[in-house]
Amino acid sequence: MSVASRVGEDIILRRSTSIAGKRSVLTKFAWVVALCVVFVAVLAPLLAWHQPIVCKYQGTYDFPAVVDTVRQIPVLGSYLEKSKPFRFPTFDARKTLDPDSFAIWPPIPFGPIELMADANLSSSRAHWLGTDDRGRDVLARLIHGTRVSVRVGLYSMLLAGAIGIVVGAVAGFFGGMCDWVCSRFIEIVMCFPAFFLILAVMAWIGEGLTGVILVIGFTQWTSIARLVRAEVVRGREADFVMAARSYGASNTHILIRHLLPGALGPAVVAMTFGVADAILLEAGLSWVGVWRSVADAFVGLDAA
Amino acid sequence: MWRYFLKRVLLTVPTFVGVILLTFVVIHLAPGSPATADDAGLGDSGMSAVEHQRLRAHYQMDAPLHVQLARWTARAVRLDFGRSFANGRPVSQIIAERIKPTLLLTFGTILIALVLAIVIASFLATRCGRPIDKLILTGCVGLYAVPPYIVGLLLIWIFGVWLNWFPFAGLTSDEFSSMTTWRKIADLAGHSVLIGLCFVGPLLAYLIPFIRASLLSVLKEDYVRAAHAKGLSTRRVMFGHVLPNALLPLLTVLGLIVPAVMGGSVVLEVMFSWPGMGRLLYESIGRRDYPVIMGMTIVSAVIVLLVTLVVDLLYAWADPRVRYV
Repeated sequence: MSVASRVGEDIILRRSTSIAGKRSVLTKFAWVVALCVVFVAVLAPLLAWHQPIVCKYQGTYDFPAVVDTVRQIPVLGSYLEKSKPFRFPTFDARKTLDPDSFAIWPPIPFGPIELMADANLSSSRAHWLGTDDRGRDVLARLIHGTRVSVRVGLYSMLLAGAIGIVVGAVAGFFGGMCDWVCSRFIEIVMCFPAFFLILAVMAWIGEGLTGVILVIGFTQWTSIARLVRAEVVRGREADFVMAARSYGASNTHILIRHLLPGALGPAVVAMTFGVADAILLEAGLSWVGVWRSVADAFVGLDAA
Repeated sequence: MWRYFLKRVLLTVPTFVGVILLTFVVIHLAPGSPATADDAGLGDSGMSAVEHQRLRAHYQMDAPLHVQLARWTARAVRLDFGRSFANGRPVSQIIAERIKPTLLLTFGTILIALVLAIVIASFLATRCGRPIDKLILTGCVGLYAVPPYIVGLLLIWIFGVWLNWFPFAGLTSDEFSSMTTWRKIADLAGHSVLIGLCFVGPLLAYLIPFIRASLLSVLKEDYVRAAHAKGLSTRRVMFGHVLPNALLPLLTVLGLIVPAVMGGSVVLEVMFSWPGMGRLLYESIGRRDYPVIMGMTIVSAVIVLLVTLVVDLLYAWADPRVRYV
């Protein structure tokens, strides 16, 4: 993917310290942008959906878009699907809702896979960014695509971070043979150009969002592992570790309480860079057609 | 020095074995076998049990696992990956054909980007903090954030379609074989311009800030001040003292860039229908052509392995301190 995908670790460190040094206007601006993206991702169905936010259907008030928003939250959503604490609206508002009855639609009243009558429309008041080659509203797809991107970026990097931190910490702390084996393993995974390995594994793990997340997570952890290893090796001989040993602390205690907190900083910075790379990777994968980003995710959702 | 070289070269052996093992594991973890995949290539013809058995025997998948592993290793070391499902040609032959355009693209663009980045970064480092410095650095961040395939689409649209300056499809023109040598080179260069720019752009965005930071830290060193103090010209200080030391960390980065560029080539090669490894991989995935996919995975891993080895050896040669670690 991007050249950034194997960023030299020292650059990561240098940048992180220089950014943390001055909490400038730029940092605040970056925070606002990031929060906006997350906001759009979480609340996508309230911004663009083929169902209204509030409507009056057969005498009662329903909140289809709100319900769909909640349903798509990972753990809570599946819990609600099972327990059904309230009635789920099952009607299709486009077909069954009386056009004159009370309904508040999202600002973009189209779903990401909803086919409009005309394809390739240029932007108009109804379709702000026009429609694509199959007659789907581009802005709606953009909003729901954000959701996929954020999900891929966050989850795959959480996975990569977990693997990287464990491998790096074990390699750095125990040293010797253990370090040698872990380092060779890191080297082996690094040897495969990311996109090659991902495409090869994708051919078997199968398509779908989970597959993409797993594959990116399992291939992108190497630089995190190397960073954590370097930090742990440096801290291993420090005085405070010696002090902890002298009062009889166990290996796990020293590793978790004394060494990892220091190593976590660089790891988190590498992970944030990794989020960007993961999103670009995902976009590249869907562009190549290994999997179909928005469409598939929502076809699956509709089937469920 | 030779002891370090020997140790470093020997260290690639376990890594290479690991690469082969990992590919083997990936093949065997996969649900379904190449035998069924071959069937899938034939469409919905359906396959008799006898035929399936024949295919399994053909791919030697009825042998015990350790025997398969031994055979796989023996074949992988000889770079023999069997025949393509799609057209029955030997995989190594197909890859040999496709590897040249990718190597040309990868190393050509890295070389150009390196030279440009060193020149621009030296220019900026001596003008640290001035508007031009800030402007170019901001531009780098911007360029870094744009996905290369967006750049590719824009370039195709502007220079390929609208202005019609450069061809943007394939490696050569149709009448390539009838051209004179010079026309051939010009034709090849013309075809490489747009796709090359897509690679050079992000590389520059990544390298310029890196080299600039490295130069700035070296410029602060005492030995640079000493060189100035003993009356050397700025040029001699720059080329004799600053650049050699500032460019040393670049070697490590080079080892990291090569796999990134090679991996990133898939999307761009497809976009520009460049007949390289990336597009071959794309086509093979579409056809579920497993021998080609596995062969390419190993070949690209070996290239990266060799590049890392060369980088490490160069580093040890350039910076003797490394050898004693």
